[in-house]
Amino acid sequence: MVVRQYQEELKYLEKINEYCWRIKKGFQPNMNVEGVFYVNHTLERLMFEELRNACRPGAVGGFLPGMKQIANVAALPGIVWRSIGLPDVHSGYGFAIGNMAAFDMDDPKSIVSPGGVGFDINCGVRLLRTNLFESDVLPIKEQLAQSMFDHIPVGVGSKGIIPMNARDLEEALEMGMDWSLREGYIWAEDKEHCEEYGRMLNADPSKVSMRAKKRGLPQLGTLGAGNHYAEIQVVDEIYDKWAACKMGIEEKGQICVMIHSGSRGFGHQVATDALVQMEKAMKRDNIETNDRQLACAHIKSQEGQDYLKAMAAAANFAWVNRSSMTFLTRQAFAKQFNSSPDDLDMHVIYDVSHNIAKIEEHMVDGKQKTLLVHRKGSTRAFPPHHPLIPVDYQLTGQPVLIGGTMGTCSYVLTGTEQGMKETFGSTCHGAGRALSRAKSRRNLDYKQVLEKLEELGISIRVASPKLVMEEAPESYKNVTDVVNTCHAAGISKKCIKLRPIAVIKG
Amino acid sequence: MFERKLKALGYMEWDKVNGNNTQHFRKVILWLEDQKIRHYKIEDRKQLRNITSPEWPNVFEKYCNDVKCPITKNEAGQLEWFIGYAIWLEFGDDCKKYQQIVGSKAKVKNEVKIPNIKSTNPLDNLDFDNDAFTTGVNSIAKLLKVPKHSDHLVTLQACSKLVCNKLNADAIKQSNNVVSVKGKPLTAMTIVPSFNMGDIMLDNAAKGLSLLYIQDLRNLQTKINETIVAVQNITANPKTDTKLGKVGK
Amino acid sequence: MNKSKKYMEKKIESTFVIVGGGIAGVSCAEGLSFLAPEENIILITASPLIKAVTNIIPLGKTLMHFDVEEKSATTLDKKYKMLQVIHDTVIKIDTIGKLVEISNGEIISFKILCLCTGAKPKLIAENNDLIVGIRDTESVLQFSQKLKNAKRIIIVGNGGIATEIVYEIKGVEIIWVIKDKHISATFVDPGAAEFFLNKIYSKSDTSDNKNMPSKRMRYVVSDTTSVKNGAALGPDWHNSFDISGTCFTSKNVHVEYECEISKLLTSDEQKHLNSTEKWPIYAQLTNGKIIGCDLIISATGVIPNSDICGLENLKKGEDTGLLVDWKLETSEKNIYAAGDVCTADWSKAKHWFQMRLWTQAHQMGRYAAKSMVSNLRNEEFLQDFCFELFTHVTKFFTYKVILLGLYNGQTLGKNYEILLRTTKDQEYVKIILQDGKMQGAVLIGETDLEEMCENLILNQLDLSMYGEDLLNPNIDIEDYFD
Repeated sequence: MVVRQYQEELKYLEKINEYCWRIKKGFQPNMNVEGVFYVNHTLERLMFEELRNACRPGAVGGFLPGMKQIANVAALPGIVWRSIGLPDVHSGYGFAIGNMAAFDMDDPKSIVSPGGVGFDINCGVRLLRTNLFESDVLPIKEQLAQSMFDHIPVGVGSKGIIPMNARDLEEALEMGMDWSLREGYIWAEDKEHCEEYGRMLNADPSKVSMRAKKRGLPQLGTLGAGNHYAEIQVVDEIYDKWAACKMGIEEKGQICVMIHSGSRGFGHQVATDALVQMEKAMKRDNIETNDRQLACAHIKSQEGQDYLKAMAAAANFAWVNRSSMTFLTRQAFAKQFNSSPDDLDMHVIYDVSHNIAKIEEHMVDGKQKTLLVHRKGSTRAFPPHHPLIPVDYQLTGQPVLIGGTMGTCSYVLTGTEQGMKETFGSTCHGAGRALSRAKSRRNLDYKQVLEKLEELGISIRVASPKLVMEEAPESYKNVTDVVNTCHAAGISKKCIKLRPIAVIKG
Repeated sequence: MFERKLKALGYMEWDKVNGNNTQHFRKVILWLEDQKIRHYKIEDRKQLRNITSPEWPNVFEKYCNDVKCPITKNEAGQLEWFIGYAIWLEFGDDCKKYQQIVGSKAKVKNEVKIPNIKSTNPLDNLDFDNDAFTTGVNSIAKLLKVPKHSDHLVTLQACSKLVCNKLNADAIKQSNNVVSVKGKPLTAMTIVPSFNMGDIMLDNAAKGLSLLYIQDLRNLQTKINETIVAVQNITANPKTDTKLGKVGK
Repeated sequence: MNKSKKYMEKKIESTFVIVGGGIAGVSCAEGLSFLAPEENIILITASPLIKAVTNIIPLGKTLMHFDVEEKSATTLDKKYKMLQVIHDTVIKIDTIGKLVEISNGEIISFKILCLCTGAKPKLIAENNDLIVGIRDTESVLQFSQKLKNAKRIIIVGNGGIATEIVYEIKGVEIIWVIKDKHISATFVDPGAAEFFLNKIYSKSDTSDNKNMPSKRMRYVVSDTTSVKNGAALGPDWHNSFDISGTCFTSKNVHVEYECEISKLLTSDEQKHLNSTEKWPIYAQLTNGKIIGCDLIISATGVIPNSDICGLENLKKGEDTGLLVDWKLETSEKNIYAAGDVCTADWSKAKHWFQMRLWTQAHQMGRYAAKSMVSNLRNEEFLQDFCFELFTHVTKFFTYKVILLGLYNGQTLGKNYEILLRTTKDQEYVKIILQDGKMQGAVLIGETDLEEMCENLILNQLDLSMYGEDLLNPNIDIEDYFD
């Protein structure tokens, strides 16, 4: 990282409009394109605060501020248009979470980077609607939550209850949701309402290591822990009545279920394996990046192709995983309400991925180009009439599901034409930053604990209290601020707001 | 087979060509290259011109490769392709002129031809342009509240669609229960993000077309879903009862 | 002659025989009936059967159907033809003739056998009614009866059950005798113990959250008739029992560090004590103190129940557990062992080790089933991934406690460093790093870091560049590696 005075850094930043800032070339070395990021007033303050803290003398930590990460991505070979930071952008491995970048498939120098996809490949959100209302659910909320816990294994070391053997896994990796369909776990309509129809066609399970398969097998149909959760939610507000109606959401108070999960350990292993391979490929092909974490390979190289195929298999894994949980959720509801999921109208509204790289067609400077679009912590948001969105949403634009921090609100947005032009049809993803508000206010005290631990004679490092910045009021990015920024900037449009009434998590 | 095409291209002896005659074949190919295709420069056509030479088949093979003719064996097929190719080039040279012709003339030809086919269907023997027929169509349209089109046959088509979709046995059964069809047909027109082409009429037409397209797509998707369900009934693991959402029996 | 004929008539044949109805045995039966529903399975259990309490519709055709309404094990065999549960004690196992003899004289022949006989608590003294070993369901029942009239008890042992008892028992004065320098040493380090201590002394009697949804597998005993050698305890065992004493004064815990009970005072010796109070039993500690109490609870670990007649030739480990290879097969072919009775004897993955916990009993039971079925069908299979990473989730003093990998630096000697973050009464996060790579973690409280830690231990990603910033509360580390 180039270390400059904060005032110097500011010279490279320029406000384009009320909701968008430009990062000019030179902010980081070798930038091929400019960077931009979307913020409102509150988020803007957070972004600049983060940069200011990183500029302070002695603040050489392992974590780069979001703006620096966006700029480093802008320096990757083959990047086109801009390196884009969405309003919820924050520190991530390699790419920041909430960074979108696209690479020209026709440029032999273009790269693919596992850091631009993330470890939890095809982490995503799925929303199921029901025809139940808050008053139907409140009296049996606890039983329903228990029933969900009984059906969906949560937490570390949990195992799925959907029977799978090694051959099933192999097939599931290749077929994605088509496997779930074939086995009868889900409905045909689920596939229709899923990004990519729940299957990446270029998946090749033979490119996935044995360890990844072993690691993934027991985890299929499990929710995981950390920031993954399932929530029973209530429609709290409808901003776009017509679009909501197209999604089967008629009134406030209607009950939905949101599932936020990904490819679990399987994706992690695929990404880890690829990082090792790509470090070698970078040496061989003389690819240089500003940050060691931005390991990458030429798209056309063996490593690049292998990664794309393995990543597609992991994406399929994640869809089968969310499908399995859809199935289990329907079962839990059916049991509690003594009614079939069909009668409860438990249809999938949509299923989005927010950690994925896909080959898409976009207009760049008036020309149609084939691009490899990396979306990490960023959701695809295609506008009305786009051929790749389901027929039911042809007029409204693609539904975009924004999972809030656990326990706070979630949103459904729709894609816009402006977003298609400005961000290659990408918007925020929203989830994460769980409990950060509470955490950053914690008083860390170690004295007594440290005294006891020192007896072990092991070197101990503590999360230094000096790094808890007094002047940073909240490093927390409120999901409402994030969504409002996307709406105001025009890159997606608010449709529905949901509020949780029960959370299922590890 | 290809007489009409050759005639259209202006080949003098279009009615005398015998595709199985080697000399005829070579003559036509040469003529097409000379007059229409013009793939080679004039001086390079020398070998092709020597249609009696024993070398000709080899020359022709090379020619086929050069113009990327996909057919390699059957001579009749090749001839067909070359004639088609020439027509395509001709059309490309002057597409504006030809595009205008197609509409009216093609229609006339078709209508002339239809009565020639001997049919057992009495409807085929009707005179569709008969005044009585036109009046009939118009009165049906009036009954069904279908707006009239200047071409009464189009009106008839619209009537037929309405009867098939809305007045079939199932639909009638349903209408007894639900009077109005669920949905908001008009709001769609007003809410659809507009196509801004600077002309309201044009925008509305575009909206209409896109709605029709979406309807087609919906029908297709429904058929796909039905097919998947049919397949599921065979493949679904018997351990699972999809209806009840149960794992296991 | 006559006798052998009787045996002939009574001989039962079964493909699979499982001995023991604890978590391992039941998990194994579940696994077998799912993987090979067409094969005969016999489960012999001396104790009441442990049941998983969920309302999940079964995956296979059998036992997994542990609906709460299920009355007892015997109804299971009527419902599921291929699985038979026999309530009896195994007298002898013939490893060569592949026969199991049970106490009613019946002989059962098997193709493949799985021993899930569990372990029994080590007791500081045998045959004393005032000393209770807490290990299995039967002993808890006995214990809760005896506790009803107690005012003061001594708890010996420093493991999970001892820790849970200390917190869960209400209205009784507790003397906790541990041989380590800090509490709960089997599970946590001294730092975490310090973190907990506060909670022990200030525990309130109101912390009742039994209505909260349970996130893990729940188990109950199928019937409560007391039998010897009951099955081992599952998680949340105290939810089903009333463990409170008579004295209603606020509870009082006193910890005696680094000592053990050296002896129990005889009634003669007791007479020499000039105490104002009179206790049913007195114990002398290695630090010289003499303490009187109503009851002594011995929770000092277990001895595997491997001493079944006929198994003398099977290889055993130092802890007397039956040695098993990666397939969970003992030194005798076609004889498997799972759960507390076995001792892992394969080259273990770096971040896994054996600990006699219900979680491992469950995992081993399921995996043994897979292994046995693959053996029967001559199929190849891979070791289950759960043996790659030690994972244990439990609850101590109302805190969620997650232990991952080499959470106390096990096997690392002194060649590791600790990364720490703690907030009083909220969370305690300890990460074990070696060469910049994560090897283990202790997570107490709602940290939300478990998935990240699990993944980073398995990924072995180099984390040295982050230094102590890894736990910087201002960075969303659980998101960072998403």
